[in-house]
Amino acid sequence: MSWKPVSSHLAPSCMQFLEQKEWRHVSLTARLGKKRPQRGRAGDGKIWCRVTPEHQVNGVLFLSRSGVVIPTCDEITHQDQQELTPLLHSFFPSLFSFMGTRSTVLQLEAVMKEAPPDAQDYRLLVLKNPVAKPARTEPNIMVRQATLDDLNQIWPLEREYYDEEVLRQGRTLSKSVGIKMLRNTLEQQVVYCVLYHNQIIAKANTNARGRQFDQIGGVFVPPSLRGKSLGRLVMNALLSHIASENRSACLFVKKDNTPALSLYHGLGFEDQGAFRINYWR
Amino acid sequence: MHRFAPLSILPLLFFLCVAFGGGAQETPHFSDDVAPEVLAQSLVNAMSDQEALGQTLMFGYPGQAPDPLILKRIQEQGLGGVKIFGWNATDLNVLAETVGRYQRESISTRFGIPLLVATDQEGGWVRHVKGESSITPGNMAIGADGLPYDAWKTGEIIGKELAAVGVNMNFAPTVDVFVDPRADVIGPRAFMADPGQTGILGLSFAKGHEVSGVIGTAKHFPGHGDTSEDSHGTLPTVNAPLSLLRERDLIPYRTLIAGGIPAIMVGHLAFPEITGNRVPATLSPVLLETLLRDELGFEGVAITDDLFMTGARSDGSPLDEVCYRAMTAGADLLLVSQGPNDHQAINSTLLERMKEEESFNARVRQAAARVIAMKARYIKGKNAVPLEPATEEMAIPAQEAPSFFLEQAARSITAVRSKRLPLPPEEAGKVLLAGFYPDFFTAGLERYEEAKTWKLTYQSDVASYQQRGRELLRAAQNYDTVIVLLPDEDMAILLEELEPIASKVIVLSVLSPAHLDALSWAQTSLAAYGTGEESFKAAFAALAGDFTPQGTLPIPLQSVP
Repeated sequence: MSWKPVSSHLAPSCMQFLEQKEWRHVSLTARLGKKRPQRGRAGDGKIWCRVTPEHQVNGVLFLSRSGVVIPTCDEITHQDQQELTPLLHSFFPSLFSFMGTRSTVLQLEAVMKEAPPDAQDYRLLVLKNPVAKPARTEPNIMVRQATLDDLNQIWPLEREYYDEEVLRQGRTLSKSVGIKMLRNTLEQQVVYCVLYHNQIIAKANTNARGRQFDQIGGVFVPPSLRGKSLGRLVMNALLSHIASENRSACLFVKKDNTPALSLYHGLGFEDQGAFRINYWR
Repeated sequence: MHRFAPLSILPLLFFLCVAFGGGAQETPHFSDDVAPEVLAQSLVNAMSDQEALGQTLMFGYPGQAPDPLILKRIQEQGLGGVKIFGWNATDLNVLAETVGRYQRESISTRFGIPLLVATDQEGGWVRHVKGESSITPGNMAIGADGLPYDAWKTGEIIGKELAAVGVNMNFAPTVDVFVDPRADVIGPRAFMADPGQTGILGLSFAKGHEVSGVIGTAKHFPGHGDTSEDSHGTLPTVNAPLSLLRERDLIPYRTLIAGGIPAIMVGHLAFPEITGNRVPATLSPVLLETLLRDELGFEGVAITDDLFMTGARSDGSPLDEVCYRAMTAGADLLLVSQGPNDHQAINSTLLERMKEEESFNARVRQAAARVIAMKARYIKGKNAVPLEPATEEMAIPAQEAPSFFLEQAARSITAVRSKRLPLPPEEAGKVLLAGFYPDFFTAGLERYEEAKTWKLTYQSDVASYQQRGRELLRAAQNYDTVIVLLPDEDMAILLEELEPIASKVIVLSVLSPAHLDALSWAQTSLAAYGTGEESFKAAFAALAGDFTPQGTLPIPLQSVP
């Protein structure tokens, strides 16, 4: 077995492998869906794959330009560690983060010269028994899909969500970057919101749309409004939209966020193991 | 030889007759100039099972662009209709283009039958075609002024805006009689509590649609007004005997049927006292055949409410089975919003049953004939909604819309309690405006320029509402006049805290005025019904004394004799 940069004749086998357990790496299949995988260059190669003697791909390592490494394979062996060490070390100066199943991320962390200064553990959930219900509509509380016109109303919620769920201690999100990202989300993803008399009070969206799976993120109800099933309401609508396109859903959630975990289990999500994101700078 | 010549061309003549004369009879076309019912029957007779079945189905689709699956169903399964939801209709230029693409596909099939393109544009807050389309004061505002002209003109303007994007059928008017003040699902979507007036206003609205070429649909048969449950999540039950229904909920339908309403939507509502079981009306032969056809004499198209909603599937039956039951019960058009896989299963199951059961085959063909006759009556001729709407310079909102809806809103404003009416700015002293719609504040500040604002916000529980209410009470100490917005039951809890300063308070109720009962201590209160810009402008104009409000409460309040 050996790791090589993906070439055009490996690309189909590579995609086939990625589609098998897509929920582990939707952000990756979503990126690859946009354009064909490109030939990697040594040093800062984009996609590397692990090839069996039978020329089958059974592992993929993606290195993004922005320094995110997404490993995806059932396990990283001692041999993999040896083969990947020079690649990861050469990538180190531009390294930002590893994201993947907890075991693969830990095995890759082990080959680095130092431990990552920060990391977060999540649970990976996949929707197994969808209970799709159309959105309830009445004059005071209604749920609908959000559009670009809602940008200014959603922004304060999104900022609060980033502060509470995404950003690491002491970090802030600049307004211009945040608005730009939110604009992209509204343009390219499916965003649903709960409205109280036309004022947006809660939200949920997809943050990556892969081949068969949509990865859900940005599920946010402000602290003062929790416990009123607004999360369930907005998730129902979003999942119903996803089901209407015959697609499936997955997400990762912080491992000790009990209210969110119980909401997701109630909606038909099942636990698929531990997930981890670490940060190198 | 001479003698035989004429004989020898006889077979040729016969052949020509069969090929051309007879052939024209066997392939009728939607454009043939014959009476709608005759055309529909000859089309259905010429149709395969699949083609007839297709006419009885109406599906939703994801996204804004033309959906390849829908295009395929139009071409291969003769799909008869599509339903436009909010998610299809944020950009109206794209919507118009998509509708045009679907229609091109549909009229290229061998009979050239166009699609029904339907939506929910009831006026008021149920508004699936968005973009620049008008936000109207809504049915209850029309109920408050009671003028058939206002219902007609509203129907005409909404119809015109729908026609501009190619929508040729609207699931409106809602003619549910307002019965239960807690029935938030219908609430201000109803015209009023009086069944006779509801029928007249509903018919006027539908006639306005007709002028614009749009097919009106009365709903939700036999009446959604007597329940606070929403059929999206559960199967609501109406515990009313048939005698009560005849005196109340069915009265508007009698008026509308006499006036020629082309379509009626049946709701997912159970009437155990009438049917003896908890089968929803959508699937009940008793309600669809015995009541709607035999007793009320309706001959138009009966359409189901969205069968994807859980109310229709409360016993856990699969969607294709539910569709089979709805069709057998007497529905002509089956609406299924979501699920491309479900759509496939529905088509194949029903097609299979058509081959197996002669009576079901005849039922589907009867339904298809009704649908096609309705299409021939409306989607043809000079007044028809365009099949390929222009995608630029659409007249949306309709030119006369802002001025008409402002006038209509003004006619609807109701002075429920008039102690401090009128209240010109110079007599109001220091004013505090407590509400949340941006248009509420804009219209208020236009009248009371020095006023300060206070934002009412959604809270998670009763205690938080009460606490916010006490905060507002404290803030109000420094003002002479506190104008508060009352949109629903929740805010009524907050506003109840203002009783100690009752004389300072002016309540502006929007949507259903039912919640004014909770604030019966208020000495000055106005009802405005709509939540668009025009409704707030009209309400503040009435408050400031521009005109004397003439509207009457469309529903009874316990606290108002």
